Amino acid sequence: MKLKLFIILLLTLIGLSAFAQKYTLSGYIKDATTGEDLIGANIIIKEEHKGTTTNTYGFYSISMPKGNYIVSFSYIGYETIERKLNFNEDITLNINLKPTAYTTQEVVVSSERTDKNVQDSRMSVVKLPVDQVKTLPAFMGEVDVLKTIQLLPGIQSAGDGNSGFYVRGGGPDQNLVILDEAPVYNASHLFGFFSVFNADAIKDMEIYKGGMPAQYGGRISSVIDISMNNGNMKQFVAQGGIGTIASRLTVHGPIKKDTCSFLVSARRTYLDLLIKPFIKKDSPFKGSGYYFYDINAKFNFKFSEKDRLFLSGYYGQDIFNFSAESGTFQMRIPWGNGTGTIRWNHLVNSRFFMNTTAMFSDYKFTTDIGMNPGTEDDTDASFRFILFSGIRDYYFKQDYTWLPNPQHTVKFGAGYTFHHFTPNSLKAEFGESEIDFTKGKKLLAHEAYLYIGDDYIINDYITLYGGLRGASFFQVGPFTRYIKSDDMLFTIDSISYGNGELVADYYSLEPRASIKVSLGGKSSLKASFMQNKQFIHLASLSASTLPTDLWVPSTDVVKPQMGRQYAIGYFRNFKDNLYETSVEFYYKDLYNLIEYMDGALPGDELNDNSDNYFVFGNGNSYGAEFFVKKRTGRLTGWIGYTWSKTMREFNDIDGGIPFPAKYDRRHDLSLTLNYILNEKWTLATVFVYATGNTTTLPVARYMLDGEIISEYGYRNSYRMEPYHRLDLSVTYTHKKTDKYESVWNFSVYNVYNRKNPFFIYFDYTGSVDNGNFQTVAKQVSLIPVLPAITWNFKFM
Amino acid sequence: MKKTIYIATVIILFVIIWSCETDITVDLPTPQKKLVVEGFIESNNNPYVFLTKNSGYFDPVDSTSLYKMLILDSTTIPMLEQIGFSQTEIELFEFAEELIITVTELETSIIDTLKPSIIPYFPFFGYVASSMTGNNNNSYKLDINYNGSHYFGTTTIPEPVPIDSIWFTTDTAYADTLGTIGIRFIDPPQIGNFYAIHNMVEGEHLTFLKPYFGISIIDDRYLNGDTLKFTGITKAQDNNDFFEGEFDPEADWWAEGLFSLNSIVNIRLSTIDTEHFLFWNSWSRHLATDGNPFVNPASIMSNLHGENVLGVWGGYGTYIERVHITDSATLEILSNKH
Repeated sequence: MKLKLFIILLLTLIGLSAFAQKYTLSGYIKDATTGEDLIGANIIIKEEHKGTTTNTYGFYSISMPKGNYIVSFSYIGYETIERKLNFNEDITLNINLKPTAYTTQEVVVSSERTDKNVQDSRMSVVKLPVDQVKTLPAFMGEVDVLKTIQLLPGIQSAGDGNSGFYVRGGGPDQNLVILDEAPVYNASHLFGFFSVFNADAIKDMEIYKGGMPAQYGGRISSVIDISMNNGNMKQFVAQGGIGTIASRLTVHGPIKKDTCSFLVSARRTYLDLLIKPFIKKDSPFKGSGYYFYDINAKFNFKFSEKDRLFLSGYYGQDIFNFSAESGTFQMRIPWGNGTGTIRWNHLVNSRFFMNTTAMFSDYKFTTDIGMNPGTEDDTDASFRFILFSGIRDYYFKQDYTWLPNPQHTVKFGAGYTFHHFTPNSLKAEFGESEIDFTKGKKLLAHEAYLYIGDDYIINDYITLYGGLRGASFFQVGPFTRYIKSDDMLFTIDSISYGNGELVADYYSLEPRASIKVSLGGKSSLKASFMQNKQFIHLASLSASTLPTDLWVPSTDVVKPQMGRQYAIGYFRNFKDNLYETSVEFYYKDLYNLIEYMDGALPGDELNDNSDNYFVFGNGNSYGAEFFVKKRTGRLTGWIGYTWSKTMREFNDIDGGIPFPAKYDRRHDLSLTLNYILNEKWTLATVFVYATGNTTTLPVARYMLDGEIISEYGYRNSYRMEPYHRLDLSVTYTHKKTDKYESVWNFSVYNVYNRKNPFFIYFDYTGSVDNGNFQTVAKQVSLIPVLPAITWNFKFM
Repeated sequence: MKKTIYIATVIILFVIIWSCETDITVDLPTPQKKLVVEGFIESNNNPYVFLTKNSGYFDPVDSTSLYKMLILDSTTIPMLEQIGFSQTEIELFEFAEELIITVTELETSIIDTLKPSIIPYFPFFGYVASSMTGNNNNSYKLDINYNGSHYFGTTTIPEPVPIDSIWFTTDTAYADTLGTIGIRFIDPPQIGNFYAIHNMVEGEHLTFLKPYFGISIIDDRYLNGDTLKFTGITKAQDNNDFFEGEFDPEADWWAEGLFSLNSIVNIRLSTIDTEHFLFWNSWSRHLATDGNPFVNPASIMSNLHGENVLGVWGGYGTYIERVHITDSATLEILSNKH
């Protein structure tokens, strides 16, 4: 009912403002040299100071009353084009923008300067074209888009050796990471040292820390929307890089010029191969190794002026092998993601854009351990077990953009997901006998949603965004619920659900709103509100984010997570939009968060429901984010500072006393600078400072049954040393012609060799008898100063 | 276990490649003072209670400071002198202003007061009731009045379960001279039976202790009413080991935990109640997770009530089999008793 009323109201508002006779200018904006769509390029009607931007497919549309206007088309790093157009009929105009030449003078002059950050109704959004990321220092020389976004205020990295990131106090599972519309469940390789996104295959990314528009949902903290390159429409290009620990190669080009293109990109690390010669033959680590690889592929076909088809896919795996000296004990741990998307863009008319998507996403984690004593008569001692967990989703959705007039941008659509969860399942073989705990472990669920949102420019001063999303979630059988005794030791009953039988259902109505009020041309005030539900959860036995963490759906026991966020901000640009600044304040409530019970072990869930071992709680977070960015010129970069406080409260943890979240961080500062010295040399630096992570440490000890027992303090009551680090990089353009490019990148990670805390443990020395027994606290740090060289090349 | 292997290998990998370690100073808050109770009552035996208190995590650990953890009644001073503590050492002890420990047999309402006593093994002082002995299928309430606070807990001695068969398995790595013991017993038909295993090697141990390695408790969750087994039982871990020498990574720790030929071993299978089991279960989970930086360590439950109290008051329904390991394949049963 509420929804109906809302839609009627919305349509009335749209109708009211559409009285004058208007003509529409629409088309695509592309890179002139490669044919790539430019996402977020600006189209501005100079006389009216009105404008729009291209969508994810490079499409734009703007309607104006009859008349002559000068229209400017611009995009950062490209030369601006201006056209005088007569709006006396609907106009289709595709624009090809040329990249600015790589000379310092022109960069200063011709790069786009825009006040979009001030004029846009959206707040808490950051757009990051990948080219801007490429010269920043990168860990082991591997450019990493996810690492770069962690340098923005409000987005926190968890430190070295941790793959999760934390947006405004939300958990790592509350970030929706989508690659060409397909969600990626575990976006990192090697425990977070590298993201799964190969920068060569990526074009652009957009990050929403709050004020999420209604087309996004299913996660309560943030959206990281990543677009893959489409592939060059004009000519064949082979590009890649050879680095210290990994190499990559990307090939893309037209299948039919300006109609059809492809892209294939692959990457593999060779740490395992490099280390091999240095491992002695008798070393216990011989035969052990680690590597990861990933492949991105995309195909795009423009089969008419109004229709385009995209096929894109990603597949990546991390593989860890361990085999003991004698060869009798072997372990193989592969984990990874796969995604696939088919999309069809259809331009119904110049004001109506439609996108249909079908996709799948898959994440798997396997541990395969085997023991073979080698002697025939001792088969009792041989065993093998395979622990498996994963999630697989199938999606279908349709999204529509309707631009009735320049004042309104209406987006609406619907989608459906079929989720397939496999919580920890075990298959074990002991000699001849076999135990199979995989049966009946799968959890199935349907998720469906509808949304509508309108960006409404009321006048030169006020822009309003209103959106509403309705979502529903159904857990269905086959499913067995085990009912436990109070002490959790025994299953006292069980309920079985048949195929397709409803186990639990949840509904969610999610209002989203934001408002911008211009204060003169250079500054604006914005406010936003969003409420979201999330039907999936990440359960982590460990205090850090590891690939072993388990994705679980909402069930009859686990309620959906819910988040509510309020934010206000002040945005102001200086010196003709050369500098962007902003201050944002947010407050966020989180409900129905999950944690494993104290001391739960992976074995507990084998003949049981994983969610029987969860405890539930709430959280909140608030903070202030300050951001200063210099957009163009020889020197570019930004400073972000966040002050925040993030708390959790679980009845079953410390008796309900609120405790700081693991990544509660009072101060978080990051600075990035990029300086173009001349045509050949570019210098860049990154500095980060963050309050130390919290941890739980023992505070006392006692003797019992001949053992010294540690008595732990309150959850996360100890704060480790702050994290800080300086990275430097130098990029040397050795050669750059129309046919060939050769660029060297030298980088140093952690320049002053800061020993940042990873974890603290306690060690004992001496003996009680000799009276010299001592407890020593030791801090383990992961990455010392680490230089890297990468050679990047491009053949055209 | 799997997780441990996994984490261990991950850590190894990192250690090889990058990580480094530094000694740091950790500033921990002053802990809340707590009373630690270790009390038990078993079939046909007097109840025992040991009382200690917790200490700061970085407090020195030596024999003196360990004794400072003991809570003693002032009547123990002559006993301390008797076993050779000097006057200055005795001054380091804390003597309770008020300490009354009683055990009540709930079925009969018989009350006995526990008196300080010298125990022949660490921590050498405990409180023992001299006239009361544990009866199977009875419940016992422990009351402690200590310096104005009251602590209490209740436990049951369940019906013991006899050992059905017992055997010795030698370890080929030690030329069949060392090995482990296995036992089998029939679990009663109703679900919710819990067992603990202890042993004592004659001439080596003075009391029943838990095995060196492996599990010491099991429940009938998965095999109710069936035949249950404890296999690979290792030799009891002597608490006094704690005082012996520095940790030697080269030492053959596995061999330390094996029974040798010709020993006479007392194997004790006990039945325990749910609360008592939950204590040991959380205890073993704590030991498995303690010190692992990647997990939130399990907290140890307690079946005692009162402010700031830790520990356990547990009843054991015991069945003891005394065996002689005669050669690499046989065990001679010398006696058994409920």
